[in-house]
Amino acid sequence: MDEREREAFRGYVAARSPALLRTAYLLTGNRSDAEDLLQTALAKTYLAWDRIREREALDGYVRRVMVNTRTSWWRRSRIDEHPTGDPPETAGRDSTADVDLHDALWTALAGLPKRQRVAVVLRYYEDLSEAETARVMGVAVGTVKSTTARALAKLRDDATLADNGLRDDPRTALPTGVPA
Amino acid sequence: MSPIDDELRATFRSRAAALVPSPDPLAGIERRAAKMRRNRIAAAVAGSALAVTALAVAVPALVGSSAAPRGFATVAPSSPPSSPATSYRPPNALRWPTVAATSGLDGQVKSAWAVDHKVDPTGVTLEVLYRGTTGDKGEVAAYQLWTAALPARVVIATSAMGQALLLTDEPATAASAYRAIVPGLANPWVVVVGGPGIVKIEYAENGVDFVQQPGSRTALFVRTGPTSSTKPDQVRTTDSKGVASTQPANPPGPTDGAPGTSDAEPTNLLATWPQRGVLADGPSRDDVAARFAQGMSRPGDKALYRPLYAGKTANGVRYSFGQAWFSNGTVAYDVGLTTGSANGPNFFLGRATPKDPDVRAYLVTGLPGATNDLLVVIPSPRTTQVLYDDNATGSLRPVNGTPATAGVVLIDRAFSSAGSGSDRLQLLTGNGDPAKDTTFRGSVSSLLCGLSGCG
Repeated sequence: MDEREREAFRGYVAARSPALLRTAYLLTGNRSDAEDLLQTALAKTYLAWDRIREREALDGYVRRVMVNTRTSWWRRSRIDEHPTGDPPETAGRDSTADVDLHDALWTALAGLPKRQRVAVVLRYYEDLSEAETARVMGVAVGTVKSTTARALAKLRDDATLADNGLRDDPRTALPTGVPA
Repeated sequence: MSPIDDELRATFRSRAAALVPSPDPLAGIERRAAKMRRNRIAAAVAGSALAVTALAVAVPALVGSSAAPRGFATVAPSSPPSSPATSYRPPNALRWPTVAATSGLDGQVKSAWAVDHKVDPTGVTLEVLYRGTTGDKGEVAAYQLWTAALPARVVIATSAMGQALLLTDEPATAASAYRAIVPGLANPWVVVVGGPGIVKIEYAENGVDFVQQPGSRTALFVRTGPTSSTKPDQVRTTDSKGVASTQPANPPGPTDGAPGTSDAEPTNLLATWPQRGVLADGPSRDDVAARFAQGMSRPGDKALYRPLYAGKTANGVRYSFGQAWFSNGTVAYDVGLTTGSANGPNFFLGRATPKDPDVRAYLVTGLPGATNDLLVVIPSPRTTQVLYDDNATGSLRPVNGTPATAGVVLIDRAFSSAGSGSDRLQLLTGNGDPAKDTTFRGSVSSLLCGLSGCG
């Protein structure tokens, strides 16, 4: 990479890494993994920088690398993972109902399978369409639909969330015909 | 009570907003990138050792068969994949039965693809999706290739003209049908390789009357007449939902991209590099352009050529090296032509010229009565010093060009250097401080890469 391109990359990192770190944080659930994930994704982007022609679509590229890298880490590590009854990160409670609900939701998100969490983050934080989410995840649109639906169903069935008033909301009902 | 999607958005926003980014992450990113590059090379070396072992025991199965359609023989797909370099598989890789048999074309395709995408060839994973052979037209094959950093792409390649030609290079998607024109000695062929989502392939040479090649997701059709992109023939594919898609049989070239205006220049054209040597001494531009179009299997399309250096040897061999491209293309290729040599006309079809390279090189071979080849080293205009070592154990010594060659260096390259691939070059800019001003240092053979390999 020549100095001009390096400067361009530096500018991109300075401008976009805070937002990308937030996405990484929501994908991983904790800060240290998020920083590791983002650094890996940006290092891969750095190596591929000269080949990336559509610079205006860089965010999408980095998001895709993050999702792929996250999936790859998960595949490598899953044989060593031993699920426990407790999610890896529990949040403290706040006095307000909204924060209670957000804390409960955050805790429940930590218990989602990785792919479901990715789909939910891309759909509800990044506000990507189903088609865009499918492209980032490298899966079919139908898979995004079913994965998201399963994630929402799992969250809806979470007892803590139900205690905070989410279970009975009619608008959270699953669409009919989605495979379980 | 809030709907869960609203609560999800609110939760994500509040959690994300509480995160304070680290200052200046660039140094860490560059350190990690350097480490990844080292790891890839180490893994690739280990992988290539395994591949050599596998090749040693594999029996090539590329034998013609009378059962194949219209003279083509196919090798039946089987599982598992032929040569996965690593267990990594990108999400977009096609889930397809792959061809286990190996061929010399595979390695050539891998090398050429790696150069096109500027990646280390030993880090490239290649799967053979389809392979067909003919007695007189060589081999045609469809591949799926990727690296740890590059998503899967599908390449159709052939050795029909005696060298590996990458005919297409497109992203891998299940719903796609990959098509290419395979040049032939008599008639060219249309090869169509349907992705996993394709159930029917049809072809209409006149663009209207479609015929179907039954019983296969891969179809081959004879294509008569010139392989011009203006020919009206069409390929129609139908997916599992019955949706048909019709496209021209002749797709864009491997890296040509979308056609631009006829006046547009390729983005990698070395327009700021002077044309050096004596251009009138070399073969004509039209001759080089025509051979380029022929070599790219598009003899009916308008090609252009811009020489970077041309000259004539004392024994009458004329040569020219430069860039060629199609008038509607966006990519220029390294090309060279030597005429009057002991071997007759020798056309070199190289790869897409890198953007803003430090040096280009061309080898003039077959000099009558000579024991050496002529190595033409064309440095970038910013180069101030060229050093050459004819074998890896010697020292690099200055070999700067003369005013007559305008900085281009002409080197008698011993066959032994070529055979061992051991000679090297170093280029310097500015004050010529090797520690600070080196722009290129590497083997000569790495600069002499054609579509069929380096040397």
